[in-house]
Amino acid sequence: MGTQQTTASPALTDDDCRALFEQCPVGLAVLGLDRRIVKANAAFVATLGYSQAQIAERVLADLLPAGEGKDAEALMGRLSRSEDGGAAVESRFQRRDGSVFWGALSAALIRDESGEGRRLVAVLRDISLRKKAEADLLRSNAELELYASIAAHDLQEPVRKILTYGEILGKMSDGLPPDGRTALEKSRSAARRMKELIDDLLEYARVNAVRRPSAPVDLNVVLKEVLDELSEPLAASAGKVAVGPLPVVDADELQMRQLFRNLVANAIKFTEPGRPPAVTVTAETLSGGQARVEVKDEGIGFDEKYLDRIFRPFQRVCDKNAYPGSGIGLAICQGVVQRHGGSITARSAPGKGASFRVVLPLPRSAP
Amino acid sequence: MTKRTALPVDIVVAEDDDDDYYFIENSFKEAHCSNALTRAKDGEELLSLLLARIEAPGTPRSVIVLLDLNMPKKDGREALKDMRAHPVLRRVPVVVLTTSQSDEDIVRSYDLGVNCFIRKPASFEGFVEIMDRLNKFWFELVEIPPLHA
Repeated sequence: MGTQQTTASPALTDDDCRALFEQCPVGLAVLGLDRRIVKANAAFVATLGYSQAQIAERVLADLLPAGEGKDAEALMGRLSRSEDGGAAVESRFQRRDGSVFWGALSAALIRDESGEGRRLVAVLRDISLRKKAEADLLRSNAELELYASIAAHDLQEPVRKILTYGEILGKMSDGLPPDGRTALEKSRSAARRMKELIDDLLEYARVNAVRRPSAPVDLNVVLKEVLDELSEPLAASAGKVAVGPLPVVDADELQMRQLFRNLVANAIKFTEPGRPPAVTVTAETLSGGQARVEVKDEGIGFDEKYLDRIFRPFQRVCDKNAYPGSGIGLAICQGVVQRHGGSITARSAPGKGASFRVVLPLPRSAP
Repeated sequence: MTKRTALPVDIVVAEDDDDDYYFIENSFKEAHCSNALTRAKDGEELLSLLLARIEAPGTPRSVIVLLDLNMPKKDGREALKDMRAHPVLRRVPVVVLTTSQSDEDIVRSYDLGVNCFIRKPASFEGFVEIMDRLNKFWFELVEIPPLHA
């Protein structure tokens, strides 16, 4: 700020700064390196329920609920020791009357001309509403998943019986006129499809409900198993899957198998009739303790305008008769990846193949 | 394969659902299984039926139980627990036949001493195959203890 020499626009006067500081609707405070509040604006004081006189000389710990706010303390500690230039944390704060709210605190170190840390500036916003909305969303998603799972579970029974009685009736279908036999066959095939949908819905609900601890999982092993499982469709289509060296990730092994089985099965399935699928699986290490794995095919691809849609449950972007399926596979993939704090995205164009990229966490101890 | 003993073995099916009992009964016929079939509609009925058999006069007979887990009044899990706590009923082979898919039910059933756990199939062929295998295993291969004190 003060050291900036080449300003094209006129510098702010002290009066400007003072007025901005006071009028700013977001909480602002200046703290000493001992984390004592030197000056706070009206919004900062109001957010915390103090008066100007009461807030002076308070330290950060006074504004945090007892035993909480370690992240906020650690941030301010790093700043005051000049180990960090500026950062932000979300933490619970405590008002003077004892009530607690969620706040977003960002802070920066102000240095003097010699580069020595001098003071801290803090920006504090009340994010309780956002936190509540997030919690509500999580809760309603969890409820929705529960309903889906219960509904699917209860639907299993009647559909199992429709299928079984249909089969018994099928044994007697010689006595039916041709139209009757057709009607019976159609209703049996609809029941089979309903069973597939219910099974898929239950599998989808399970991904989101089951939480097992993560452990190091060697994706080379996972892919080998997945290719074994898919050996039948691979042989039938004369497909080739080339798997490059893959990393060990920090994950749930069963869900990794689910993820890559779906991705590779899709890559094999969505090809021009008569053209053998060619799939490659490669990986690279990203910064931040993550790895990106890419499953790439030379199949029919899809228009990227449907990118949002393909990851939603029961959404399909191609002809159901040519490429049957319930449209749950990629929703399962997205559920798995999100469970692991990763991401999934895709690149494609019609007729140009598709590539799906998943980002997954590496084990902490990995180099 | 010759069995040493040749006690007649009765099958007691603990099943509250009429449709499933119909499937079981018919698939048994289809699998050419001629053992006597008796039905209990809940866990209480199963236990009183089995206890009455112990006391019944006449030639000793053996029994195996096909047990559904989800039933009214006393469910299959409770009935199983009671059977395993009884000095005679504890030796009765129990085959769980259920729609339950939960891993917990599988573990708990074996912990309570079931002899096998089978999921109800979604096809009549599936029922027939299960009954055929049960028939070959329990009535042709293995020895079953008599049901008397």
